[in-house]
Amino acid sequence: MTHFAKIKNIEYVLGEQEISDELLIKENPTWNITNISLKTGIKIRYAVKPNQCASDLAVLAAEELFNQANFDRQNIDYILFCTQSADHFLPATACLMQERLKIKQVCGAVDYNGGCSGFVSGLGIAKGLIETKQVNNILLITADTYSRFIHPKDKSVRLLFSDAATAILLTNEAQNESIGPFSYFTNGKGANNLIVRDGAMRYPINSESKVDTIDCYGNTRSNVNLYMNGPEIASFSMVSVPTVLNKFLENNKLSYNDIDFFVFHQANKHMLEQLRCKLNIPTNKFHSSSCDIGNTVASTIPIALKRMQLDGLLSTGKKLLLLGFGVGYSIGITLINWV
Amino acid sequence: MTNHNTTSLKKAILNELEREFVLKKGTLKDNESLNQFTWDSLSVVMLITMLSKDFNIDVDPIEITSAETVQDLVNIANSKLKL
Repeated sequence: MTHFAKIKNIEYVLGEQEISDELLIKENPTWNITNISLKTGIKIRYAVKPNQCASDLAVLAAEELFNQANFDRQNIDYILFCTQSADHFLPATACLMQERLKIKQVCGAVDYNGGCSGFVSGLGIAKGLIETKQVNNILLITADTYSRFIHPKDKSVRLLFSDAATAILLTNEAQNESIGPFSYFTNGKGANNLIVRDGAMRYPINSESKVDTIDCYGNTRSNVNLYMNGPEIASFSMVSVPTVLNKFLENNKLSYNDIDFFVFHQANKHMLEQLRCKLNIPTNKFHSSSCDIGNTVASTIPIALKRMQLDGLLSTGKKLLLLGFGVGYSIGITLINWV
Repeated sequence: MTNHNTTSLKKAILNELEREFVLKKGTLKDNESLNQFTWDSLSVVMLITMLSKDFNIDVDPIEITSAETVQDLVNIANSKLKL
């Protein structure tokens, strides 16, 4: 009897507050927003309400998943919750999800802090749990509310990020290996280039934490806000992503022609187009249209997959290469044989 | 490095800067100060990604922001141009 992991269903939910270019222009008349939106491809950003958490979006996504998949939630054996915006330091938000979704208690539940490569990491963990026969069915959730970290006067990030949650059902029903191989890359030297500095254990909240400062580009933030050094992140991406990807293909004796679709972390349209050109990937094989809803962190790749599925692009046997890259720095790559 | 590469590199940098700062094509001069323009982080990103994609040059963002003139920027990029 086979016991290979497969992605069975994906659903997603976006934050309900829509932040359009018009709204941002009204708030910040000096920001050249139209020009920036043309480059990033982002049309509308989505944010949660001020008192909403990532878990609230996750519950909605999971309920939609159970409904659409016609799947009995009592068959979930494990909850993996990928977030950088947990409800509490402890306990794990995944435990709260077990209670809120009324999933059986004979179930594992862990959080992991994955970010932009988090979905790929989650697939790796899920594959391990399923194919070592520890569990049969996994609820993998990606959920983030970066809007709650972002200073309203920080143009460098306010225009880019959106809040979202995805719920992915992984089962053991594949007849052959459907997920994998994997490759991971980490460079902690880049940690300070995408960070919320204060509020955890290294730098607890102090009298300086919420003091606003203005950077050399005119962006305002404090140490409890999200900081992103866009140029450094871009530099890392343009160097490391091609290197790691080419190594992955070489190690697995694959060529670019073997892949039907490349689905990278949908950071923004400009970044993706630069990478696509550098890697010489044809446009019809490279998904970038899910940038329009903003950077939803770990959720960008599963949202892209869902949209591709709805567009009829994902038929059985299609080979997808998923590549998440960003915060950490981290990169995760995997292959999916769509079933 | 060939003259062709350095010429096309300089042209690409000038084009990118003119586009970024909304200048009439062909008006930017080598000795112009970069400090007169309003950089934002996305401007730096555009330059970094263009150099990487079109010339396989990896420039440290700090080098870009520390360049004082257009020619400084061209010199930095030239020094990294691979044969």
